[in-house]
Amino acid sequence: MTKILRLVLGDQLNSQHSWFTLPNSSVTYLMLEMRQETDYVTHHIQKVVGFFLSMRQFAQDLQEQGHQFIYLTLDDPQNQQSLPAQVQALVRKEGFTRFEYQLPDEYRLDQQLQACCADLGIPCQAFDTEHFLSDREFLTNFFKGKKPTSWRPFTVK
Amino acid sequence: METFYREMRKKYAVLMDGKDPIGGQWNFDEDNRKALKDRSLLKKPRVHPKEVAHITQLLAASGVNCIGNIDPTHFNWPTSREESLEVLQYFCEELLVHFGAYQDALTTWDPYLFHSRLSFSLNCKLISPLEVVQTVEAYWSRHQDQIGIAQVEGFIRQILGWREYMRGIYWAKMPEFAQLNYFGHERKLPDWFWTGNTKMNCLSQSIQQSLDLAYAHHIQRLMVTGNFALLAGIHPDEVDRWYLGIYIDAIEWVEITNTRGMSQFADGGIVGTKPYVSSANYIKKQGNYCSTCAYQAEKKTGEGSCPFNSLYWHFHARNRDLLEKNPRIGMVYRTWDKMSNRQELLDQAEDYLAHLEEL
Repeated sequence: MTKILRLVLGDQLNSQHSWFTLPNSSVTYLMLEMRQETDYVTHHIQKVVGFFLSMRQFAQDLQEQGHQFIYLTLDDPQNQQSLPAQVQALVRKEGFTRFEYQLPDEYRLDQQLQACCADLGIPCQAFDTEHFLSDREFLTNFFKGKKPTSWRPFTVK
Repeated sequence: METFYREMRKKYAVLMDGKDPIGGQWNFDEDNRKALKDRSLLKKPRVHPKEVAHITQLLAASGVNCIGNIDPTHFNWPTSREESLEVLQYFCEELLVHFGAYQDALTTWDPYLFHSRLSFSLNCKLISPLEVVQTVEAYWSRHQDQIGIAQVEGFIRQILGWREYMRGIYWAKMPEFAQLNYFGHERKLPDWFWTGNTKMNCLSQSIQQSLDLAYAHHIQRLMVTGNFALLAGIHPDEVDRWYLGIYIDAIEWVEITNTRGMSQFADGGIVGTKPYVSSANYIKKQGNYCSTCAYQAEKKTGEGSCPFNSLYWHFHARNRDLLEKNPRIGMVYRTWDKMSNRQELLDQAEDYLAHLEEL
């Protein structure tokens, strides 16, 4: 049986994303309050509070619409405080057969998730965040001396 | 960026009249540089006060180290899609009419001016850039008799153009971007960046506000704190850490490109075409910070001279090899070479640089 774990990062609170169109009993969403994220730089306290509150509200709203969530607060005894460790632990414990995430906006997390997926031993897939109006890589070719690739428009709803 | 911005306007049919830009030009930036003189124009922000003691207690109990201040009974940032859409609606109805004209203003009267307070909601994706841009355009098109095109175009350019372009730069240039230090700046950020405790009123106000609200608007970030850090030769790692931590909307992709790139020119010109630096004159012209400052904006050297003045020339003198050939900067060196008080200015700047903590 397919059991999908889908990661939602703290800056991916897009309730209009196609992931959330309909609840799906084979999908569990994962949201994490982690020391990894509270400590990578010294944040303003309102920044951490703003993220945690928004994340909690987001998970609560979508749960009320029938989506399944694992939400680990910062003080949850199950919280590994590190993204790869947490995903590894959950996949092993809950027997997920597939791991999916939205492309992170940060290089640090992009690298971490790619490494995490390489070690996970189950199929992994990255999805667009369906937020921005241009492709993440649209300037990459431009700086290599080529013309910029076109910025793909999303379907306007 | 300008080419990209025009393409985006066409692609998404934003502020377009067929193939042409509405209003006959793409960019109305020239109309957007006023200082605020009339205090009665200001509006209170649309806030959603929340009780957040359960989170601040969690952070304290977990030993998370934070900076800045918070009132746990009145957390005022929008934290849901619904609240964010209300803030967007409020922006359209109450703030947009003056947004562009005063977006570069500096004032002690109000921290937000006519800025939207949507950067956090956008950067954690509670709302989308397209719905923000389309909502603002639709509101404007129904109220063209009250709201000028310059107000709207300036706002839309930031989101449809600049924000997307910065993200493109980030993914094209990371991870090398985070190591760039074009000027080889090495100084440590003065401790007063973490307290606001400096006699320079513009910096004290901008930093104190940042500590209180986790927010400053773009000219406070660019032309007050960023300008000072660049003139003073602060290491871009130190500057990045400060910006990445202190602002509620700061996530690395948007922070590092704007800070290390646009503001600090540590990328040598990938993001911008020249460093954003100024002497005291710009800050004085944009608002009222200088009128109650311990330093004198007009004074270039000697007791009470504003540090921005001598540091401005010191920055250009010490980086002459790197900047003189830039066609947008050449004029500065022709002026400098004709000045008779060059040595006094350099000596004054050296003295301030040796006493950064006491400024």
